[in-house]
Amino acid sequence: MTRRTRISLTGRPQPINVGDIKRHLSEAEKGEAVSEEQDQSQQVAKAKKGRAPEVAQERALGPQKSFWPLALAVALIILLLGLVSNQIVMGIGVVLSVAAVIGWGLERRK
Amino acid sequence: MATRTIVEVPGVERRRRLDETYIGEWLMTTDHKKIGVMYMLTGFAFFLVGGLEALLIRTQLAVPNGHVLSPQVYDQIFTMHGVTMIFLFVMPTLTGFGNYIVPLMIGARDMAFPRLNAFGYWLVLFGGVFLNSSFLFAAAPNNGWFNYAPLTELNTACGNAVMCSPGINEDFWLLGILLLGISSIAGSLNFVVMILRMRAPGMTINRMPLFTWMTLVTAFLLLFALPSLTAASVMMLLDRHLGTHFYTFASGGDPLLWQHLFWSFGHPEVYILILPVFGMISEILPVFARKPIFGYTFIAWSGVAIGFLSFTVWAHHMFAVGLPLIAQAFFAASTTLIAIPTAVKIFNWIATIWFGKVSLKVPMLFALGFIAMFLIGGLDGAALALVPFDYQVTDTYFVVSHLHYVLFGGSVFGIFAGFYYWFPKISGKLMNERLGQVQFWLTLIGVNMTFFSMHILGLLGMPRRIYTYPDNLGWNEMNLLQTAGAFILGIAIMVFFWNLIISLRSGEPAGDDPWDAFTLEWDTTSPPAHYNFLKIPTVRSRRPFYDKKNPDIADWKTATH
Repeated sequence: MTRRTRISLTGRPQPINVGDIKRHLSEAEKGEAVSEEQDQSQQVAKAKKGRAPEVAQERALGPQKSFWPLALAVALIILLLGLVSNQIVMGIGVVLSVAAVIGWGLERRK
Repeated sequence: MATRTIVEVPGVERRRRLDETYIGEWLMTTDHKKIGVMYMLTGFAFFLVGGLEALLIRTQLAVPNGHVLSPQVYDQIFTMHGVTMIFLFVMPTLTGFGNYIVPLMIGARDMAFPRLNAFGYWLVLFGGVFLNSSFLFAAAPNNGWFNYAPLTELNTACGNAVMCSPGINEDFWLLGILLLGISSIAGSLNFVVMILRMRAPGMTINRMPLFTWMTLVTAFLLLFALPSLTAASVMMLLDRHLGTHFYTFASGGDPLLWQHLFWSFGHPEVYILILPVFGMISEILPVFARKPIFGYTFIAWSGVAIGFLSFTVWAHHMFAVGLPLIAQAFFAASTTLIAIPTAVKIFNWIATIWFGKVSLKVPMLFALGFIAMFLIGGLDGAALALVPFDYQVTDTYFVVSHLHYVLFGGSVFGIFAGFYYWFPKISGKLMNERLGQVQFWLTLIGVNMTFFSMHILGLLGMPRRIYTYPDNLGWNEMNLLQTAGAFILGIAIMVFFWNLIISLRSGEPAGDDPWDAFTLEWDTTSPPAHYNFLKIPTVRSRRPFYDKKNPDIADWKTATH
């Protein structure tokens, strides 16, 4: 689900993962620029030159967000409410639960 | 140890995703701190619900021949009071503390399975909503929080060709508890794996903070205790809806099977509700006495001993059913035995504050209150281990008094101690000290007014769960006193919530380490950054943060652990 408006996230960069950072660092160390992301490598190199390793990308070390735990819990509740009230509701709960389990399993983890 | 360096990368322009909105961040979070906060908020919300139910019960019992509630609604209210307080307040709140604090304490960046952790939380929230939604159907569970068979059967096992529990009340209990059980298993797996596999370098088992120790023991208790409750509940569902007869005596089943299965979960459950609090108290006392904990090893391993022994005492809840003599002797002995490791802890706590530079801040007040109140509850428990005495007071208000001294005087005092202690870490602000002290004294007075005279009422023979009573039994004054005490407790809780709100809005900034504490969670910002620690700390003693602040007299220079 996305909002239509486009916003600038200049002050709040997109999450990246640790592997990417390490790759950038090693390439910067070797003096090789990352071809597509010239700006990034310059910044990485700048960080390597002695600036304190301050945290700008805190999310990189945290777990990735996920919609599926919530979805599965909601599906299970619908299933249980169906069990005590109405079989159609229970059927919907079963379908949603299966969908949530599959979605959880197929979710790409960085 | 390698240091992870995190650097800035330029921003990009793109659409804003759901998880970047404020609400989306909370709905989709897998961050242990956010989940911990949600657990605590949910727990306290249900505390209000359970507290309201308690006030309704006490209002009904305030005077003889009371008719504030109908008998049917009264049954639902006292059942849901127990279920709510145990499964929806104390357990989630303690899980919330564990979620927030333990990863920070051991230097981990998150729980072992973040998505499973989030799933566990959502199950608690929706499980609680599910259980309470039963009120909308006028079908809240109504057979007591331990739900004894055959009263809970759908068939006519209760006799007189009358169906025992024909409504869906019982199904709400069974399904709701199953759901909460799944949540607890998810949380326990997370704690066990995280604590065993994700500790900071140098943090050996013998250097783990005691709250972490107790959380680990509690997680194992849940893993081993919950299956019997799950099995019992599934068998009851089968009895009710698929025609089996596990608990129907006339068809070859045995109603006592429920009691055995329930209490082989239920007694470890008591320790599930109290062991994390033991851990909290073991963290708070040393900080406010300015001493290391006395007898760390004994406190840690007595927790393990309690965990083991808690699986050997369940039938002391069943002395009155007519157990064989040898079984009575065994369970009386094992119940007496479990008092020993508990007493070990209490003596160690007293030794910790002995000759310490005691600072009576609110967390310390609640911790000291905990020791005193829990001691009363514990002594009651030791008395109830004596079979002849148990025969006299079983299912009376004496037992109600005992369990409330353990769970309110113990767990709730501990939760408040922990909350006042860690609130500055969670919010970056201090709770108002004066309001905290008002709350403490009101709570202490309220607890004793409400629950102490229940001992006497029990000895006088007032049965628990009774709807009302005649006015010529000598119970009137004590019941009125208890109701007044309950309302004082209600006021104390309101003071707490008021304090919480004003402290969040305009509390004094706490700084990173307002208590001059010893453990790793204070060695990061308040509130902590998303990643907890920029650099994972290396641990060399049981008080790593104390070592860092006092390098000249660091523990690792003198201690051998």
